Amino acid sequence: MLRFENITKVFKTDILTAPVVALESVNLHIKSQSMVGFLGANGAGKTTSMKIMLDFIRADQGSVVYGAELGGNLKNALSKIGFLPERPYFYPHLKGHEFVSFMGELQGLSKTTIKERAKLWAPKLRIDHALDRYLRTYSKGMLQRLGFLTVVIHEPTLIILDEPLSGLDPVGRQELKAIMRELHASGKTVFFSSHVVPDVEEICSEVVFLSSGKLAYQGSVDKLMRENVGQTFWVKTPATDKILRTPFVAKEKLSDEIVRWEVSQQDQENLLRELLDSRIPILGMEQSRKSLEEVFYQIKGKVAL
Amino acid sequence: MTLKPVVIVANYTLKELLKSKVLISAFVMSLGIALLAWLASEFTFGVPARVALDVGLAALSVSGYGIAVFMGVTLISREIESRTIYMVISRPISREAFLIGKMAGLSLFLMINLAVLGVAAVSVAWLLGLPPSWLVLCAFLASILECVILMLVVVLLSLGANTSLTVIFSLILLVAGHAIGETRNSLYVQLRPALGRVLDFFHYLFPGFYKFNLKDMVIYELVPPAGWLNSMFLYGICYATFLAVLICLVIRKKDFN
Repeated sequence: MLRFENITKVFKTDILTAPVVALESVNLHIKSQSMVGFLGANGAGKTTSMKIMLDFIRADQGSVVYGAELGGNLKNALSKIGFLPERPYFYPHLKGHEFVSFMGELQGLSKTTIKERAKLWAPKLRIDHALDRYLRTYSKGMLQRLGFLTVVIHEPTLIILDEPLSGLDPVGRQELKAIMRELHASGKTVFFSSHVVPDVEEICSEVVFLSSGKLAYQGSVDKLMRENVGQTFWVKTPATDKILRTPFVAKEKLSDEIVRWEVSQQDQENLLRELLDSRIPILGMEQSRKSLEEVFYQIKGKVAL
Repeated sequence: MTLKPVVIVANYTLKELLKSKVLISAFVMSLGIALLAWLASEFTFGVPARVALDVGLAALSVSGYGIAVFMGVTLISREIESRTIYMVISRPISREAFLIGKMAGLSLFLMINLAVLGVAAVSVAWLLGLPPSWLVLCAFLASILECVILMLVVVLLSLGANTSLTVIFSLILLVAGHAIGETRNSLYVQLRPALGRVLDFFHYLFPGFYKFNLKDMVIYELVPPAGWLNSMFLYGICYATFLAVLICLVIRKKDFN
Protein backbone atom coordinates (compact mmCIF):
# COMPACT_ATOMS: atom_id res chain seq x y z
CA MET A 1 0.00 0.00 0.00
CA LEU A 2 2.79 2.44 0.95
CA ARG A 3 6.50 1.87 0.68
CA PHE A 4 9.62 3.73 1.78
CA GLU A 5 12.49 3.08 -0.60
CA ASN A 6 15.87 3.87 0.83
CA ILE A 7 14.74 7.03 2.60
CA THR A 8 17.42 9.23 4.13
CA LYS A 9 16.76 12.52 5.87
CA VAL A 10 19.41 14.79 7.33
CA PHE A 11 18.56 17.91 9.33
CA LYS A 12 21.00 20.78 9.18
CA THR A 13 20.38 22.88 12.25
CA ASP A 14 23.00 25.59 11.84
CA ILE A 15 26.47 25.99 10.40
CA LEU A 16 28.23 25.48 13.74
CA THR A 17 26.70 22.11 14.60
CA ALA A 18 27.00 18.83 12.73
CA PRO A 19 24.00 17.73 10.67
CA VAL A 20 21.69 15.24 12.34
CA VAL A 21 20.86 12.07 10.45
CA ALA A 22 17.21 11.51 11.30
CA LEU A 23 16.65 8.60 8.93
CA GLU A 24 19.27 6.44 7.23
CA SER A 25 18.37 4.31 4.22
CA VAL A 26 15.05 3.24 5.64
CA ASN A 27 12.98 0.74 3.66
CA LEU A 28 9.58 -0.05 5.04
CA HIS A 29 6.34 -1.35 3.71
CA ILE A 30 2.82 -0.86 5.02
CA LYS A 31 0.74 -3.75 3.76
CA SER A 32 -2.87 -3.32 2.86
CA GLN A 33 -5.40 -4.05 5.64
CA SER A 34 -2.72 -4.48 8.27
CA MET A 35 -2.52 -2.99 11.75
CA VAL A 36 1.05 -1.84 12.13
CA GLY A 37 2.67 -0.47 15.26
CA PHE A 38 5.52 1.93 14.64
CA LEU A 39 7.94 1.65 17.52
CA GLY A 40 11.04 3.48 18.51
CA ALA A 41 12.45 5.52 21.34
CA ASN A 42 12.05 9.31 21.37
CA GLY A 43 14.11 10.74 18.53
CA ALA A 44 14.26 7.44 16.64
CA GLY A 45 12.71 9.06 13.56
CA LYS A 46 9.06 7.98 13.81
CA THR A 47 7.51 11.43 13.39
CA THR A 48 10.03 12.34 10.68
CA SER A 49 9.01 9.21 8.77
CA MET A 50 5.34 10.12 9.02
CA LYS A 51 6.06 13.66 7.86
CA ILE A 52 7.87 12.28 4.82
CA MET A 53 4.98 9.88 4.09
CA LEU A 54 2.62 12.86 3.95
CA ASP A 55 5.05 15.21 2.19
CA PHE A 56 5.28 17.72 5.05
CA ILE A 57 9.04 17.39 4.67
CA ARG A 58 11.04 15.96 1.79
CA ALA A 59 13.55 13.15 1.96
CA ASP A 60 17.13 13.91 0.96
CA GLN A 61 17.39 10.52 -0.71
CA GLY A 62 14.98 7.78 -1.64
CA SER A 63 11.33 7.87 -2.48
CA VAL A 64 7.87 7.13 -1.11
CA VAL A 65 5.79 4.82 -3.29
CA TYR A 66 2.01 5.05 -2.97
CA GLY A 67 0.29 1.84 -4.03
CA ALA A 68 -2.70 1.41 -6.30
CA GLU A 69 -5.03 1.31 -3.27
CA LEU A 70 -3.97 4.89 -2.55
CA GLY A 71 -4.30 6.00 -6.14
CA GLY A 72 -0.64 5.65 -7.13
CA ASN A 73 0.55 9.14 -6.23
CA LEU A 74 0.59 11.61 -3.36
CA LYS A 75 -2.20 13.79 -4.72
CA ASN A 76 -4.63 10.88 -4.95
CA ALA A 77 -3.33 9.31 -1.75
CA LEU A 78 -4.19 12.35 0.37
CA SER A 79 -7.90 11.84 -0.19
CA LYS A 80 -7.55 8.24 1.03
CA ILE A 81 -5.38 8.90 4.07
CA GLY A 82 -6.50 10.05 7.49
CA PHE A 83 -3.75 11.54 9.62
CA LEU A 84 -3.67 12.65 13.24
CA PRO A 85 -0.54 14.44 14.48
CA GLU A 86 0.82 14.07 17.99
CA ARG A 87 -0.82 16.35 20.58
CA PRO A 88 -2.88 18.33 18.07
CA TYR A 89 -4.10 21.81 18.92
CA PHE A 90 -6.85 23.24 16.78
CA TYR A 91 -8.32 26.68 16.13
CA PRO A 92 -9.40 27.89 19.59
CA HIS A 93 -12.19 30.18 18.37
CA LEU A 94 -13.98 27.50 16.34
CA LYS A 95 -16.52 25.10 17.80
CA GLY A 96 -16.01 21.34 17.63
CA HIS A 97 -18.59 20.78 14.89
CA GLU A 98 -17.19 23.69 12.87
CA PHE A 99 -13.73 22.14 12.89
CA VAL A 100 -15.18 18.76 11.84
CA SER A 101 -17.04 20.50 9.00
CA PHE A 102 -13.85 22.30 7.95
CA MET A 103 -11.92 19.04 7.71
CA GLY A 104 -14.80 17.25 6.00
CA GLU A 105 -15.31 19.99 3.44
CA LEU A 106 -11.61 19.85 2.56
CA GLN A 107 -12.16 16.17 1.78
CA GLY A 108 -14.94 17.16 -0.60
CA LEU A 109 -17.77 15.83 1.59
CA SER A 110 -21.18 17.44 1.55
CA LYS A 111 -22.52 19.07 4.71
CA THR A 112 -25.16 16.33 5.05
CA THR A 113 -22.55 13.56 4.85
CA ILE A 114 -20.37 15.31 7.41
CA LYS A 115 -23.32 15.59 9.80
CA GLU A 116 -24.28 11.93 9.32
CA ARG A 117 -20.76 10.66 9.87
CA ALA A 118 -20.21 12.94 12.85
CA LYS A 119 -23.45 11.60 14.34
CA LEU A 120 -22.11 8.08 13.88
CA TRP A 121 -18.59 8.58 15.21
CA ALA A 122 -18.95 11.28 17.87
CA PRO A 123 -20.79 9.04 20.38
CA LYS A 124 -18.28 6.22 19.80
CA LEU A 125 -15.48 8.64 20.55
CA ARG A 126 -17.44 10.13 23.45
CA ILE A 127 -17.11 13.67 22.08
CA ASP A 128 -20.73 14.23 21.00
CA HIS A 129 -21.48 16.24 24.16
CA ALA A 130 -18.77 18.79 23.33
CA LEU A 131 -19.27 19.42 19.61
CA ASP A 132 -21.08 22.70 20.30
CA ARG A 133 -18.32 23.97 22.56
CA TYR A 134 -15.40 26.19 21.56
CA LEU A 135 -12.15 24.28 21.07
CA ARG A 136 -10.36 26.53 23.54
CA THR A 137 -12.42 24.87 26.29
CA TYR A 138 -11.37 21.34 25.27
CA SER A 139 -9.00 19.23 27.35
CA LYS A 140 -6.03 17.44 25.76
CA GLY A 141 -7.95 14.18 25.64
CA MET A 142 -10.98 15.84 24.08
CA LEU A 143 -8.84 17.40 21.36
CA GLN A 144 -7.40 13.96 20.70
CA ARG A 145 -10.90 12.47 20.37
CA LEU A 146 -12.05 15.30 18.10
CA GLY A 147 -8.90 14.87 16.02
CA PHE A 148 -9.70 11.19 15.65
CA LEU A 149 -13.20 12.07 14.50
CA THR A 150 -11.80 14.26 11.73
CA VAL A 151 -9.46 11.41 10.74
CA VAL A 152 -12.27 8.95 10.11
CA ILE A 153 -14.87 11.40 8.77
CA HIS A 154 -13.98 10.68 5.12
CA GLU A 155 -13.63 6.90 5.62
CA PRO A 156 -9.96 6.73 4.67
CA THR A 157 -8.26 3.57 3.42
CA LEU A 158 -5.08 4.23 5.38
CA ILE A 159 -5.11 5.74 8.85
CA ILE A 160 -1.81 7.18 10.08
CA LEU A 161 -1.69 8.21 13.73
CA ASP A 162 1.22 9.79 15.55
CA GLU A 163 1.13 8.78 19.23
CA PRO A 164 -2.68 8.58 19.25
CA LEU A 165 -2.89 7.25 22.78
CA SER A 166 -0.84 9.96 24.45
CA GLY A 167 -2.88 12.42 26.49
CA LEU A 168 -5.70 9.93 27.10
CA ASP A 169 -6.72 8.45 30.44
CA PRO A 170 -6.64 4.62 30.83
CA VAL A 171 -10.31 4.30 29.92
CA GLY A 172 -9.83 6.54 26.91
CA ARG A 173 -6.85 4.47 25.79
CA GLN A 174 -8.88 1.27 25.95
CA GLU A 175 -11.75 2.90 24.03
CA LEU A 176 -9.49 4.23 21.32
CA LYS A 177 -7.72 0.89 21.01
CA ALA A 178 -11.11 -0.79 20.60
CA ILE A 179 -12.02 1.70 17.86
CA MET A 180 -8.70 1.09 16.11
CA ARG A 181 -9.40 -2.66 16.24
CA GLU A 182 -12.88 -2.03 14.83
CA LEU A 183 -11.48 0.06 11.99
CA HIS A 184 -8.92 -2.62 11.22
CA ALA A 185 -11.61 -5.31 11.29
CA SER A 186 -13.64 -3.27 8.78
CA GLY A 187 -10.76 -3.46 6.31
CA LYS A 188 -8.86 -0.25 7.03
CA THR A 189 -5.10 -0.16 7.25
CA VAL A 190 -3.94 1.37 10.52
CA PHE A 191 -0.38 2.58 11.03
CA PHE A 192 0.35 4.22 14.34
CA SER A 193 3.43 5.24 16.23
CA SER A 194 3.95 4.75 19.91
CA HIS A 195 6.74 4.45 22.38
CA VAL A 196 4.48 2.48 24.70
CA VAL A 197 5.32 -1.06 23.60
CA PRO A 198 2.54 -2.92 25.47
CA ASP A 199 -0.08 -0.88 23.57
CA VAL A 200 1.38 -2.04 20.29
CA GLU A 201 1.72 -5.62 21.49
CA GLU A 202 -1.91 -5.60 22.53
CA ILE A 203 -3.46 -4.62 19.22
CA CYS A 204 -0.95 -5.05 16.40
CA SER A 205 -0.10 -8.04 14.33
CA GLU A 206 2.81 -6.25 12.66
CA VAL A 207 5.48 -3.91 13.91
CA VAL A 208 8.11 -1.62 12.51
CA PHE A 209 11.03 -0.83 14.81
CA LEU A 210 13.16 2.23 14.25
CA SER A 211 16.29 2.75 16.25
CA SER A 212 18.46 5.84 15.84
CA GLY A 213 17.04 6.47 12.38
CA LYS A 214 17.64 2.93 11.16
CA LEU A 215 15.14 0.20 10.53
CA ALA A 216 15.70 -2.45 13.19
CA TYR A 217 12.83 -4.76 12.37
CA GLN A 218 9.75 -4.97 10.24
CA GLY A 219 7.36 -7.88 10.22
CA SER A 220 4.89 -9.80 12.28
CA VAL A 221 4.99 -9.69 16.07
CA ASP A 222 4.93 -13.51 16.26
CA LYS A 223 7.91 -13.85 13.95
CA LEU A 224 9.79 -11.24 15.92
CA MET A 225 9.17 -13.10 19.15
CA ARG A 226 10.18 -16.42 17.60
CA GLU A 227 13.37 -14.98 16.15
CA ASN A 228 14.47 -13.08 19.19
CA VAL A 229 13.27 -15.15 22.08
CA GLY A 230 14.97 -18.51 22.60
CA GLN A 231 12.08 -20.76 23.64
CA THR A 232 12.63 -21.79 27.23
CA PHE A 233 10.74 -23.90 29.71
CA TRP A 234 10.16 -23.29 33.40
CA VAL A 235 9.80 -26.09 35.96
CA LYS A 236 8.99 -25.45 39.61
CA THR A 237 10.21 -27.95 42.23
CA PRO A 238 10.74 -27.96 45.98
CA ALA A 239 14.10 -26.51 46.98
CA THR A 240 16.79 -29.20 46.67
CA ASP A 241 20.54 -29.47 47.07
CA LYS A 242 20.78 -32.07 44.37
CA ILE A 243 23.00 -31.14 41.46
CA LEU A 244 21.22 -31.80 38.17
CA ARG A 245 23.02 -33.08 35.08
CA THR A 246 20.70 -31.27 32.68
CA PRO A 247 22.17 -27.88 31.73
CA PHE A 248 19.81 -25.10 32.76
CA VAL A 249 19.60 -21.50 31.61
CA ALA A 250 18.73 -20.15 35.04
CA LYS A 251 17.77 -21.28 38.51
CA GLU A 252 15.68 -18.91 40.54
CA LYS A 253 14.74 -19.23 44.20
CA LEU A 254 11.08 -18.22 44.40
CA SER A 255 10.87 -18.81 48.17
CA ASP A 256 12.68 -20.84 50.84
CA GLU A 257 10.79 -23.93 49.69
CA ILE A 258 10.41 -23.49 45.95
CA VAL A 259 12.91 -23.07 43.12
CA ARG A 260 12.30 -22.50 39.42
CA TRP A 261 14.50 -24.08 36.76
CA GLU A 262 14.69 -22.58 33.30
CA VAL A 263 15.92 -24.88 30.53
CA SER A 264 16.00 -24.66 26.77
CA GLN A 265 13.30 -26.43 24.81
CA GLN A 266 15.75 -29.18 23.74
CA ASP A 267 16.60 -29.96 27.34
CA GLN A 268 13.04 -29.84 28.56
CA GLU A 269 12.50 -33.63 28.25
CA ASN A 270 15.86 -34.46 29.86
CA LEU A 271 15.08 -32.26 32.85
CA LEU A 272 11.66 -33.78 33.38
CA ARG A 273 13.10 -37.31 33.15
CA GLU A 274 15.91 -36.46 35.57
CA LEU A 275 13.50 -34.92 38.06
CA LEU A 276 11.24 -37.97 37.90
CA ASP A 277 14.22 -40.36 38.20
CA SER A 278 15.48 -38.40 41.20
CA ARG A 279 11.97 -38.44 42.73
CA ILE A 280 11.92 -34.67 42.96
CA PRO A 281 8.24 -33.56 42.80
CA ILE A 282 7.27 -31.29 39.92
CA LEU A 283 5.12 -28.49 41.33
CA GLY A 284 4.43 -26.76 38.04
CA MET A 285 5.72 -26.13 34.56
CA GLU A 286 5.12 -23.58 31.83
CA GLN A 287 6.63 -22.18 28.67
CA SER A 288 8.38 -18.89 29.28
CA ARG A 289 7.36 -15.86 27.21
CA LYS A 290 9.13 -12.55 26.95
CA SER A 291 7.12 -9.43 26.38
CA LEU A 292 7.48 -7.38 23.19
CA GLU A 293 8.96 -4.66 25.34
CA GLU A 294 11.83 -6.92 26.42
CA VAL A 295 12.43 -7.88 22.80
CA PHE A 296 12.30 -4.22 21.82
CA TYR A 297 15.13 -3.37 24.20
CA GLN A 298 17.02 -6.46 23.05
CA ILE A 299 16.79 -5.36 19.41
CA LYS A 300 17.51 -1.74 20.26
CA GLY A 301 20.68 -2.85 22.00
CA LYS A 302 21.77 -4.89 18.98
CA VAL A 303 21.23 -1.97 16.58
CA ALA A 304 23.01 0.44 18.87
CA LEU A 305 26.00 -1.91 18.96
CA MET B 1 -5.03 24.53 -8.13
CA THR B 2 -8.81 24.65 -7.76
CA LEU B 3 -10.68 27.51 -6.15
CA LYS B 4 -12.94 25.48 -3.84
CA PRO B 5 -10.31 24.55 -1.19
CA VAL B 6 -9.12 28.19 -1.20
CA VAL B 7 -12.66 29.37 -0.49
CA ILE B 8 -13.11 26.75 2.28
CA VAL B 9 -9.86 27.76 4.03
CA ALA B 10 -10.63 31.49 3.61
CA ASN B 11 -14.14 30.96 5.00
CA TYR B 12 -12.99 29.15 8.15
CA THR B 13 -10.04 31.50 8.65
CA LEU B 14 -12.41 34.47 8.53
CA LYS B 15 -14.90 32.67 10.80
CA GLU B 16 -12.18 32.04 13.37
CA LEU B 17 -10.86 35.60 13.22
CA LEU B 18 -14.33 37.11 13.52
CA LYS B 19 -14.87 35.15 16.74
CA SER B 20 -11.56 36.32 18.20
CA LYS B 21 -11.39 39.41 20.33
CA VAL B 22 -9.66 41.47 17.64
CA LEU B 23 -12.93 42.58 16.06
CA ILE B 24 -14.24 43.73 19.45
CA SER B 25 -11.00 45.70 19.82
CA ALA B 26 -11.69 47.25 16.41
CA PHE B 27 -15.12 48.41 17.57
CA VAL B 28 -13.63 49.87 20.74
CA MET B 29 -10.86 51.47 18.69
CA SER B 30 -13.42 52.94 16.27
CA LEU B 31 -15.03 54.75 19.20
CA GLY B 32 -11.54 55.92 20.19
CA ILE B 33 -10.87 57.16 16.67
CA ALA B 34 -14.19 59.01 16.58
CA LEU B 35 -13.40 60.58 19.95
CA LEU B 36 -9.85 61.46 18.91
CA ALA B 37 -11.04 63.00 15.64
CA TRP B 38 -13.66 65.07 17.46
CA LEU B 39 -11.09 66.18 20.09
CA ALA B 40 -8.60 67.20 17.39
CA SER B 41 -11.29 69.22 15.65
CA GLU B 42 -12.05 71.04 18.92
CA PHE B 43 -8.44 72.20 19.15
CA THR B 44 -8.32 73.63 15.67
CA PHE B 45 -9.54 76.80 14.08
CA GLY B 46 -11.22 77.17 10.72
CA VAL B 47 -11.28 73.65 9.26
CA PRO B 48 -12.30 71.29 12.08
CA ALA B 49 -13.91 68.75 9.75
CA ARG B 50 -10.68 68.39 7.70
CA VAL B 51 -8.55 67.98 10.83
CA ALA B 52 -10.99 65.37 12.13
CA LEU B 53 -10.74 63.50 8.80
CA ASP B 54 -6.92 63.74 8.79
CA VAL B 55 -6.66 62.34 12.32
CA GLY B 56 -9.27 59.69 11.58
CA LEU B 57 -7.57 58.44 8.39
CA ALA B 58 -4.15 58.41 10.10
CA ALA B 59 -5.54 56.35 13.00
CA LEU B 60 -7.20 54.04 10.48
CA SER B 61 -3.86 53.42 8.73
CA VAL B 62 -2.02 52.76 11.99
CA SER B 63 -4.70 50.26 13.08
CA GLY B 64 -4.48 48.53 9.72
CA TYR B 65 -0.68 48.27 10.01
CA GLY B 66 -1.08 46.76 13.48
CA ILE B 67 -3.49 44.08 12.29
CA ALA B 68 -1.43 43.34 9.16
CA VAL B 69 1.86 42.99 11.05
CA PHE B 70 0.78 41.29 14.25
CA MET B 71 -1.75 38.91 12.75
CA GLY B 72 0.24 38.29 9.57
CA VAL B 73 3.33 37.27 11.51
CA THR B 74 1.53 34.37 13.23
CA LEU B 75 -0.69 33.41 10.31
CA ILE B 76 1.51 30.46 9.29
CA SER B 77 3.98 30.11 12.16
CA ARG B 78 1.17 29.49 14.66
CA GLU B 79 -0.26 26.80 12.39
CA ILE B 80 3.11 25.03 12.31
CA GLU B 81 3.75 25.37 16.04
CA SER B 82 0.33 24.02 16.94
CA ARG B 83 0.60 21.29 14.27
CA THR B 84 -2.81 22.31 12.91
CA ILE B 85 -1.22 22.71 9.50
CA TYR B 86 -0.60 18.94 9.43
CA MET B 87 -4.32 18.29 9.84
CA VAL B 88 -5.05 20.54 6.86
CA ILE B 89 -2.31 19.73 4.36
CA SER B 90 -2.66 15.99 4.94
CA ARG B 91 -5.94 16.43 3.07
CA PRO B 92 -6.38 16.89 -0.68
CA ILE B 93 -5.41 20.56 -0.72
CA SER B 94 -2.19 21.99 -2.10
CA ARG B 95 0.09 24.04 0.13
CA GLU B 96 -0.45 27.02 -2.17
CA ALA B 97 -4.24 26.76 -1.93
CA PHE B 98 -4.01 26.55 1.85
CA LEU B 99 -1.77 29.60 2.06
CA ILE B 100 -3.80 31.69 -0.38
CA GLY B 101 -6.93 30.73 1.56
CA LYS B 102 -5.35 31.81 4.84
CA MET B 103 -4.18 35.11 3.34
CA ALA B 104 -7.56 35.72 1.69
CA GLY B 105 -9.30 35.09 5.04
CA LEU B 106 -7.01 37.52 6.83
CA SER B 107 -7.39 40.10 4.03
CA LEU B 108 -11.19 39.94 4.34
CA PHE B 109 -10.87 40.33 8.10
CA LEU B 110 -8.57 43.29 7.56
CA MET B 111 -11.15 44.88 5.24
CA ILE B 112 -13.95 44.40 7.77
CA ASN B 113 -11.82 45.95 10.52
CA LEU B 114 -10.81 48.89 8.35
CA ALA B 115 -14.42 49.37 7.27
CA VAL B 116 -15.50 49.60 10.93
CA LEU B 117 -12.69 52.04 11.70
CA GLY B 118 -13.24 53.96 8.43
CA VAL B 119 -16.93 54.52 9.15
CA ALA B 120 -15.99 55.96 12.56
CA ALA B 121 -13.27 58.18 11.07
CA VAL B 122 -15.38 59.55 8.24
CA SER B 123 -18.66 59.96 10.12
CA VAL B 124 -17.15 62.47 12.58
CA ALA B 125 -15.88 64.55 9.66
CA TRP B 126 -19.31 64.35 7.99
CA LEU B 127 -21.05 65.34 11.20
CA LEU B 128 -18.74 68.36 11.36
CA GLY B 129 -19.88 69.39 7.90
CA LEU B 130 -17.42 67.83 5.43
CA PRO B 131 -19.26 66.97 2.21
CA PRO B 132 -19.03 63.34 0.99
CA SER B 133 -16.24 62.84 -1.55
CA TRP B 134 -15.29 59.94 -3.85
CA LEU B 135 -11.64 60.70 -3.01
CA VAL B 136 -12.28 59.67 0.62
CA LEU B 137 -13.50 56.30 -0.67
CA CYS B 138 -10.36 56.02 -2.85
CA ALA B 139 -8.17 56.85 0.19
CA PHE B 140 -9.95 54.14 2.14
CA LEU B 141 -9.48 51.55 -0.65
CA ALA B 142 -5.83 52.56 -1.03
CA SER B 143 -5.38 52.05 2.69
CA ILE B 144 -6.83 48.53 2.43
CA LEU B 145 -4.54 47.72 -0.50
CA GLU B 146 -1.54 49.05 1.42
CA CYS B 147 -2.38 46.92 4.47
CA VAL B 148 -2.88 43.80 2.32
CA ILE B 149 0.56 44.35 0.72
CA LEU B 150 2.08 44.86 4.16
CA MET B 151 0.43 41.65 5.37
CA LEU B 152 1.87 39.76 2.37
CA VAL B 153 5.34 41.17 3.11
CA VAL B 154 4.97 40.00 6.72
CA VAL B 155 3.84 36.50 5.69
CA LEU B 156 6.75 36.21 3.24
CA LEU B 157 9.28 37.27 5.86
CA SER B 158 7.71 35.00 8.50
CA LEU B 159 8.44 31.97 6.31
CA GLY B 160 12.15 32.55 6.74
CA ALA B 161 12.65 34.48 9.97
CA ASN B 162 11.41 34.32 13.54
CA THR B 163 8.57 36.46 14.86
CA SER B 164 10.67 39.31 16.29
CA LEU B 165 12.86 39.68 13.21
CA THR B 166 9.82 39.54 10.94
CA VAL B 167 8.13 42.37 12.84
CA ILE B 168 11.30 44.48 12.85
CA PHE B 169 12.04 43.97 9.13
CA SER B 170 8.41 44.61 8.21
CA LEU B 171 8.31 47.90 10.12
CA ILE B 172 11.61 48.95 8.53
CA LEU B 173 10.20 48.22 5.06
CA LEU B 174 7.00 50.09 5.94
CA VAL B 175 8.85 53.22 7.06
CA ALA B 176 11.31 53.02 4.15
CA GLY B 177 8.45 52.45 1.71
CA HIS B 178 6.76 55.63 2.92
CA ALA B 179 9.92 57.74 3.00
CA ILE B 180 11.35 56.71 -0.36
CA GLY B 181 9.00 58.85 -2.48
CA GLU B 182 9.90 62.15 -0.81
CA THR B 183 13.55 61.16 -0.42
CA ARG B 184 13.92 60.27 -4.13
CA ASN B 185 12.61 63.68 -5.11
CA SER B 186 14.74 65.62 -2.63
CA LEU B 187 17.42 67.97 -3.94
CA TYR B 188 20.08 66.13 -1.91
CA VAL B 189 19.45 62.91 -3.82
CA GLN B 190 19.01 64.63 -7.18
CA LEU B 191 22.50 66.08 -6.81
CA ARG B 192 23.90 62.57 -6.15
CA PRO B 193 22.96 60.29 -9.09
CA ALA B 194 24.64 57.22 -7.52
CA LEU B 195 22.49 57.51 -4.42
CA GLY B 196 19.51 58.07 -6.69
CA ARG B 197 20.25 54.77 -8.47
CA VAL B 198 20.43 52.92 -5.11
CA LEU B 199 17.10 54.40 -4.13
CA ASP B 200 15.63 53.51 -7.55
CA PHE B 201 16.76 49.92 -7.03
CA PHE B 202 15.10 49.88 -3.61
CA HIS B 203 12.04 51.48 -5.10
CA TYR B 204 11.63 48.82 -7.80
CA LEU B 205 12.33 45.89 -5.50
CA PHE B 206 10.52 46.81 -2.29
CA PRO B 207 6.96 48.08 -1.94
CA GLY B 208 6.47 51.80 -2.44
CA PHE B 209 3.94 52.33 0.33
CA TYR B 210 4.00 56.10 -0.21
CA LYS B 211 1.95 55.61 -3.38
CA PHE B 212 -1.08 54.61 -1.30
CA ASN B 213 -1.06 57.74 0.83
CA LEU B 214 -3.94 59.87 -0.45
CA LYS B 215 -4.45 61.77 2.77
CA ASP B 216 -2.94 65.05 1.53
CA MET B 217 -5.17 64.98 -1.54
CA VAL B 218 -8.23 64.32 0.60
CA ILE B 219 -7.42 67.00 3.18
CA TYR B 220 -6.43 69.71 0.71
CA GLU B 221 -9.05 68.67 -1.87
CA LEU B 222 -6.39 68.16 -4.52
CA VAL B 223 -7.47 66.52 -7.73
CA PRO B 224 -5.11 63.67 -8.68
CA PRO B 225 -3.60 63.81 -12.18
CA ALA B 226 -5.43 61.88 -14.87
CA GLY B 227 -4.72 58.14 -14.64
CA TRP B 228 -2.83 58.51 -11.37
CA LEU B 229 -5.40 56.61 -9.30
CA ASN B 230 -5.64 53.83 -11.91
CA SER B 231 -1.87 53.39 -12.00
CA MET B 232 -1.73 53.40 -8.18
CA PHE B 233 -4.34 50.64 -7.92
CA LEU B 234 -2.72 48.71 -10.78
CA TYR B 235 0.68 48.96 -9.05
CA GLY B 236 -0.87 47.73 -5.78
CA ILE B 237 -2.64 44.77 -7.39
CA CYS B 238 0.46 43.79 -9.40
CA TYR B 239 2.73 44.05 -6.36
CA ALA B 240 0.30 42.03 -4.21
CA THR B 241 0.14 39.35 -6.93
CA PHE B 242 3.96 39.32 -7.18
CA LEU B 243 4.23 38.80 -3.42
CA ALA B 244 1.56 36.08 -3.42
CA VAL B 245 3.41 34.21 -6.19
CA LEU B 246 6.69 34.57 -4.30
CA ILE B 247 5.08 33.22 -1.13
CA CYS B 248 3.65 30.25 -3.06
CA LEU B 249 7.10 29.46 -4.50
CA VAL B 250 8.65 29.54 -1.03
CA ILE B 251 5.90 27.44 0.56
CA ARG B 252 6.20 24.82 -2.18
CA LYS B 253 9.82 24.14 -1.17
CA LYS B 254 9.45 24.60 2.56
CA ASP B 255 9.82 21.74 5.04
CA PHE B 256 7.15 21.87 7.75
CA ASN B 257 9.21 20.57 10.65
